[in-house]
Amino acid sequence: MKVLTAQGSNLKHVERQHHRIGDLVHAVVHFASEESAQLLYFGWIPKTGGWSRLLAVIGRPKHALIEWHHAAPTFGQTAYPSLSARWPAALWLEREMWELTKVLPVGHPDLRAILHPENQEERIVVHGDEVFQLPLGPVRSDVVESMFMRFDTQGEQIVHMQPELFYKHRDIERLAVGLLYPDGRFLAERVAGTSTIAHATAYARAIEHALGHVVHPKVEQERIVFGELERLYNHAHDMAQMASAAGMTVAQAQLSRVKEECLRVNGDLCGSRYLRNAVLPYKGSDVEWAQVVSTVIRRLRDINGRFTQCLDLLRRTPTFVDRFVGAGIVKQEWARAYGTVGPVARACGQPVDVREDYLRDRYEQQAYRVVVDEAGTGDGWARFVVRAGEWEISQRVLTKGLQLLANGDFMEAGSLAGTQDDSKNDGFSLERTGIGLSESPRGRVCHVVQLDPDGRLAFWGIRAASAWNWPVLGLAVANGNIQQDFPPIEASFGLSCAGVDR
Amino acid sequence: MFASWLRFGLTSGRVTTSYPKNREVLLREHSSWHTVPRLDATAARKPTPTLQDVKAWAMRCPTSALFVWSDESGWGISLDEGACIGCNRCVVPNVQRVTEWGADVDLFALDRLALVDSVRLQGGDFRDGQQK
Amino acid sequence: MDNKSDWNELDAEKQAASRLRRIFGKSLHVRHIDVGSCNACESEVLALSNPYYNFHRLGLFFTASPRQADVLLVTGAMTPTMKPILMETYEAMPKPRLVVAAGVCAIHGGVFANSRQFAGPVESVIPVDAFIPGCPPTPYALINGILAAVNGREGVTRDA
Repeated sequence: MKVLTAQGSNLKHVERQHHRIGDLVHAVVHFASEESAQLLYFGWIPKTGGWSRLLAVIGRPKHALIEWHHAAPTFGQTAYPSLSARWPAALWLEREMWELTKVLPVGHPDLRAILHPENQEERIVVHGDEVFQLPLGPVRSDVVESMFMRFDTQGEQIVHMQPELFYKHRDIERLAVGLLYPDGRFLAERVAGTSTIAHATAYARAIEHALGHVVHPKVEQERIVFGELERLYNHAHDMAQMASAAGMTVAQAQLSRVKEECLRVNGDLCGSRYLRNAVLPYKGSDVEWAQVVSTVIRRLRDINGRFTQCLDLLRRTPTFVDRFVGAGIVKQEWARAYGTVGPVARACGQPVDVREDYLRDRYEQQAYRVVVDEAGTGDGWARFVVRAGEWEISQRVLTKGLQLLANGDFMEAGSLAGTQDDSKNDGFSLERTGIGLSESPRGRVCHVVQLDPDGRLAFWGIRAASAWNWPVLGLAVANGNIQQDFPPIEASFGLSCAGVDR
Repeated sequence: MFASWLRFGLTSGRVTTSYPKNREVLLREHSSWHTVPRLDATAARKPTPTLQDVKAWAMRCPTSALFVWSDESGWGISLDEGACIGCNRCVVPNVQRVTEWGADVDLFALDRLALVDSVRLQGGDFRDGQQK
Repeated sequence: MDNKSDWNELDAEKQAASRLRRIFGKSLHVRHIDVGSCNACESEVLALSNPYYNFHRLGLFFTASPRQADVLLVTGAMTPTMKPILMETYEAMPKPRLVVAAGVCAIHGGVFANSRQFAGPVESVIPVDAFIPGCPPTPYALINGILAAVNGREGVTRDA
């Protein structure tokens, strides 16, 4: 029988230990030009014995590899060659690392304070005739998260836009150190509330990977189903926000109604509208699937009918379409360089999707396929189309997945205790360290954990989906768009702050 | 519960949906939603759990919303609804059975202390203890 | 309850209503501020304006500026960065003003209570009129709490 590992079958974890950080950066930069290589994690981690080291985790889905590159600093090392100088995906990460450790990334173009925006003194200022600066936030109109944006405009034209986040930095990663791993999931669920399942799943998979176990296929199947339920309400929400940004009040009301109905399905299914307490390390939920599946499928079908009808009308509404076509274009090379994820990347024609890249054999039996905008225009409209396609696929995966849960015979696959994960090779020197990946509605979520011998968290690194997409928003907004384009662009990105701020 | 003008809206106020007018219907409809558990005051009438048991069990609460207190005449347990994140740890079947999911999906309080529920489990009469 | 006390209650309600109506006008404007939440509370607050809850029917509206707000709806575990911003927002609101703390994080801190980046419950900075527990609170609880905060202001005056 094919043994599934924590992240899917045949996926191997390879460790590369470098003598110097410079060597590590050199090796990692090599992947910046490799098609489909992904920077999953980059940051300092503590090593058993107290020494901290730099860890870069590279995913190479084409080769079914996850490469762990790490290197310890030499004694008293205070600088290393910057990775973001060559691979912009690490820009914000290195700003954060610089602020935390004060080890200088040499060659980094922008080392402003990121974790404490209130202390920030240097600002990027655009000089020129008739340039006008427009600060927006952190308390903005409507019900949104707290963030700050600085626009430099020339007339109506946006010349430069700089988002400042971390107003809500809650220090989750360090708060969790010393917690027993079952307690860590309370924090994982609250990294980003609307991606509860994605973060809880990534956390659970990371823990299981660290401890070298694979859970029972039924538990993983539940995670898939919950994940798709989460995607449904998030996509409905994003669509509603897009309708609202374009002034489509009726569509917004209809789509927010769809979202509410999805939330109610969640609430009736497992008690929590945001699917809290459903995904735990090593454990399945206590939902009695056989009893509820037919009701859930019927309700989802009703919701789907309403949603597709509304979407069809939107597609045929020129005043709606016009606001998004050509607005906020993300060029393919930006998407590649900044490592964008989720619908934003897929709208640029890049099939970046954890489900496709690392969990293909789990999703294969659910009639899943990755939705990519073939033209790769990367504008707001492409993001709308990708989300619409994903909704359809999610419905299909859910119907199939729920039926599997209700009458699937999972027992053949082994005992409920799960099996041994042998994806790490023997010489893996990072002990009790694991990575967990999941696809949230906004894109890839990656958790890296390291556990003490007694099951307490020694290190926890969180890379939320939006963290990869935020730096691109500034570029997408600034190039050729006017002030009035900003709300549709922002809505079409559908970013969250909570996951980035942590 | 509310002044009628609030119930029917501040302006002309046609009520177009069933809430807050039909609260009972709403609570029945959403009985499977869980927000916070409530302390079961009748638990005291069952075989009284020991102090040690209840203490060990209250330790499961990740935010210390559930805590044990004692005074000169006995001891009891309190639940701070303002600190409860609704993880289901204290509700999973347990011998003590002092908490169960509450049905209120529209919980609020005007006073911080009103969010703290207490049940006396030993000493005094087996009813709600005083505010702790 | 007999008929007489029913009528008495209605009378009292009418009096309270007319007093509050004088102060707040015919509608109530809510300004939401997120001081460090996980986005679930925002999602629920936003749900208030969907057709299921439609809090506009009660005369409640979201407003863009704190200067036009009657109610400040605070969600999230307050971070040191957001603390002065919250106070500024509160100061910018005209009197009388109400504060509603929604969600466990705003009331107590919840899972973030031990974080170095947690600056205390909202109550420690500004006076709070209503507490809505839950993680996140349901939209029903939010409507209920906001209405109760208005109703609970017995001795409300123009400069409270």
